[in-house]
Amino acid sequence: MQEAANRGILGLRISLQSNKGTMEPIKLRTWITWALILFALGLLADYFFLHLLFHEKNNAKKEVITAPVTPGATVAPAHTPDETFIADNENEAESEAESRSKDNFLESLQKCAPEVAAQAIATPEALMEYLKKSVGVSKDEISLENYHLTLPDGSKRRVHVVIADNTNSPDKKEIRLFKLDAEGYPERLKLRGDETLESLLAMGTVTRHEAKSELLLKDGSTVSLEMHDKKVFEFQYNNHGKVLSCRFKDCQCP
Amino acid sequence: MFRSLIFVGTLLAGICAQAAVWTDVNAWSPAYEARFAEWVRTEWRVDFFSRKYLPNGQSNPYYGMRMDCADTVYSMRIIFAYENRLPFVIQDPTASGKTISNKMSRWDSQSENNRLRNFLWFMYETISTRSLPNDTYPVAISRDTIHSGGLMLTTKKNHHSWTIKEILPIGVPYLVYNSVVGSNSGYGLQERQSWPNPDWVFETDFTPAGSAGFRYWRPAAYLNRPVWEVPGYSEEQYRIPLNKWVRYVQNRLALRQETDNQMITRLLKTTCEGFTGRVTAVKEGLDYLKKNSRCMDYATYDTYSTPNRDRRVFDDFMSLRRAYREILHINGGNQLSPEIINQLNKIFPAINQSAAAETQRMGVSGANSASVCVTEYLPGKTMDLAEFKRRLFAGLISNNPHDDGAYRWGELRGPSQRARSCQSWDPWTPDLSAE
Repeated sequence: MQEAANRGILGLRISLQSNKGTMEPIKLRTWITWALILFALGLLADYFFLHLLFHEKNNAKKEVITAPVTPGATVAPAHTPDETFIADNENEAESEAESRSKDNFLESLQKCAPEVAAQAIATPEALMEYLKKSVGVSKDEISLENYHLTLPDGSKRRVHVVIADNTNSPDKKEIRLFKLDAEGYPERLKLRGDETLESLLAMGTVTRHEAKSELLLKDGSTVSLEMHDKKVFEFQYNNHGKVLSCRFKDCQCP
Repeated sequence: MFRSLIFVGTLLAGICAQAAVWTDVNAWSPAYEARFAEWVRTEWRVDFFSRKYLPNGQSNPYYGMRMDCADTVYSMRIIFAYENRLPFVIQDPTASGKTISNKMSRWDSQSENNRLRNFLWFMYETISTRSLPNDTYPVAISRDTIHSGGLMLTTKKNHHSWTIKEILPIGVPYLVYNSVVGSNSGYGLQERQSWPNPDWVFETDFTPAGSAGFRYWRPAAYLNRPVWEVPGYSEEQYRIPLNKWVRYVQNRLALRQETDNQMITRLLKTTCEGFTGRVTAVKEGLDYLKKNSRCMDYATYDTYSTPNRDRRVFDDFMSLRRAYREILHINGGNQLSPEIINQLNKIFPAINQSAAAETQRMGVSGANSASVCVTEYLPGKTMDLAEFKRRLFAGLISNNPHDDGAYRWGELRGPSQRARSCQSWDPWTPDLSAE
């Protein structure tokens, strides 16, 4: 046993001496080769874990179909935006944009609708209120709505309600439900088919509501209106040929 | 060994660094917009998604994509952007202020072709005719602004859109589009070289707010901005009286006038295509009816009914009738060939009277030497365009999929027993007073 150990040590010494005698400095090329091998292995590991393994997990959750609004389903908001929610990026960005935008609302209103401007209307919201209540609405049609939801687990959903294209009907609406992917892009989710707008909104808290509508007023004038959280975001008021177009209070009356 | 390692390393880095549906290395410019227009004019065809092989023998990477009208419009722009490594950006329809672009990395692990196809499918599930106003703007009326690669959009009531393949030298749009996607729809697109009825295009809102009419793509910098701020935004098309809209716009877009014969031939062709296209659509409904005798639910009924299709054919007949009347009014028809006059007189036997009066006077019109577009509409049964017009104008043609073939094609006046006993939706009947 001791003899075998001695032979081993001796062999190692001989080997070391032999190598010492022939060893040369490691060439730059060898360094680069091994660096490339290690880099490639790192990339492969990254690719496997981040793109294949986790990607498959995400894919397992994906399913998509079209879900028409069930006949008779109302599209009126079941929830009003929760005043207590923490403002998300969209709302903050919009507030900043509003504060930066110019204000020529009164001059433009005076130019396009002097008879309305004479009613001392100071804001787009007041204008809409005046048109709806004083002029009167013959028809008010919502063509598109987006509800931004936050679920109890903190994840986000969007409910998109839009006039259906793939139909002969002029006013059929379609509900689409989306989750948001890691990059913030919408990703359509499968609906069973028996959902209503109310049942989808009941999944979480509405943090933002966007609605586009078209109003036909009793005097024959029309308004195309986009509201965000009950605030006028953008509108075009066609006052018998004169079109007042505004985003916030930044307006034009050509 | 060393070179192999460098190659493998580069390849792996390329695969792992992929972070977009495609990498855009170019930027939209007037030159690329011109290339886009030329590409649409030459490459954008009705078989773009239905041909299995390209002319060079390679398999068609876009084969088998099924889409509706808005999907078709977006596909035209997306595919050109992809093939030319240009950015594609639109406003996110689900959130004001956000965008969707080719930079999405959702399909990173997939092949380039699969990434593109998945991006297209994703778009089809997200966009609609109602998202088009966010991504396009209304243009002025000239050949510089209305050209290949642009689009036409209707108001939300009729929720339809067309791509402009070309503005013909006579000032008429050559449109490529798709309609309602049914369960048996193929992958082919549709086309027409004539004006859609402007009453239908602008129905209920002939103002800029209706977003209907000719439009073009917004530069990315003008997404999520008020449409009236987009360079080139114009309200010109909404200032033309609707009853003169086609004549005015066509004159502005025309490089040369088409002869009366050419115009009538073109309109006859469009109307004939509406008639023959209906044969396939009705057959799908009749095939379904053979296997399912119970009342249809709304979705099935909607798939197999044809009210919008029937209205479009009716509109095409009315356009043809108006054109013939105007020609007679202007020159008495002396520029028309005798053959075409015979064909027209068979379709419109009382052209000087109202459409309603003509319909009352018109008897059954059998096929003869003046017949146009003789078509087998049911197995062993044929009729020409004149007879189809008679039945359509008389309200005999049924768009109700509960009716069998004899009712659908106006041999018998409906509704049939089954149609009476089942619920129906979205009926349409011809309005002969709208001349």
